Amino acid sequence: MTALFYTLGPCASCLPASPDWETAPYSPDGPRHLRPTALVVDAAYESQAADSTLPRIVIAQTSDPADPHALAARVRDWLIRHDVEQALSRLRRIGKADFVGRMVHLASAGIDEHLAAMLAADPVAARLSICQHAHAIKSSAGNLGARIVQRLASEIEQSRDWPSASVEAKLAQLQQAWAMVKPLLAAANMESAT
Amino acid sequence: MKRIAVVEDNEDNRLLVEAILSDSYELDQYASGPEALAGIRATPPDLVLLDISLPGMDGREVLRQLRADPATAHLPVIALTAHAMTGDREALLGVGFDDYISKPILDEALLLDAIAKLIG
Repeated sequence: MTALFYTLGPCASCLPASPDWETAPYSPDGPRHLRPTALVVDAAYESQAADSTLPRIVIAQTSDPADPHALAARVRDWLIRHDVEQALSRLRRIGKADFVGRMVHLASAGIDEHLAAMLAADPVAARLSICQHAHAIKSSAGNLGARIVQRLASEIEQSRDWPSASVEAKLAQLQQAWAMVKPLLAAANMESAT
Repeated sequence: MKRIAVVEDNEDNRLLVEAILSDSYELDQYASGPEALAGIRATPPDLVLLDISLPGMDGREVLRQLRADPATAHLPVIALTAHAMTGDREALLGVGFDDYISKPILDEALLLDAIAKLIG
C-alpha cells in the first residue's frame, strides 16, 4: 500500500480502492494517528453535484514521504481520472450505443473551439466574450466530469473586473488543465467502446 | 406523446437532454432565442426547457416574450442554467419560470420529475 484516501461527505462511497490506494470513510480520529505526509485539499473538487454538498477532502499517507508533491500529483491525477470515468459511466447508462462517443466528441470539440477563441481574444477589449466562452466551457466540462476544467472556467466566467494579468494566468491554467483531461477522456471513451 | 421545446445553444447539452427525454416526449430543439420564439409560435409545445445564458437574446427575454404573447403565455417553462448561484432559483421563479434545473444535469430523474409535475 502506498497511500490511504480518507474522504469526507457523501463522496466517501464513490471512491473505490485501487491497487495503489486504500480508501476509508473519514472519521475525526482517523487522520491524527496516520500522521499524513501530504494533505491535499483542492477547491477544484468542491462538489457541485446535487447529491453531494460537502467538499471532498483527500488525505494521503505514503510510505515514501520524500516527495509529497509527487504524491499530490498522483492524487490529483487519480481524482481527475475517477471523475471522468464516473461521468462517462453515467452517460453510458443514459444513452444508446453511440451516445457517449458523440457526447465526448461534441463537448471536446466545443471546449477546443471556445478555448482557442478565448486565447485569441484581447483580455481587456473582449472580456465579456471571454466570460461567455468560459460559460460554455463550464457547461461542457461539467457534462464530461472534467471538474478541474469546469472550476477554472467558472472562475474565468466571473472575471469581468479582474486585471488582465490575472485573466491571462487563469487562461493558462485552464489550457493546461484541458490538456491534462482531454487525453484521459479520449482513452476512457475508447475503453468504453471496446 | 407530449411535445417539449428545448432551447439550448450548447450542442452537447441538447444531445444530453435528447438522450434523457426522447423515449417519453417529442422534442423540438432550438439553438437561439429568436429561433425558439418563431418555432414555439408556429408549433406550440406542451412545455419549454429554456437555457438562461443564450447568446444574443437570453432566456429571461425569451420568457418575457412568451409570457407577453397570449398564444404562449400559459406554457410551463423550466429554466436550465449553469449559474447555480445562491438565490438563482428564487430569482428565476420570481420572473415567471415554473421551475429550475441546474446544469450539468447530474441526475436525470430531477429533470424528468420536474417535467412530470408540470405536464404529467
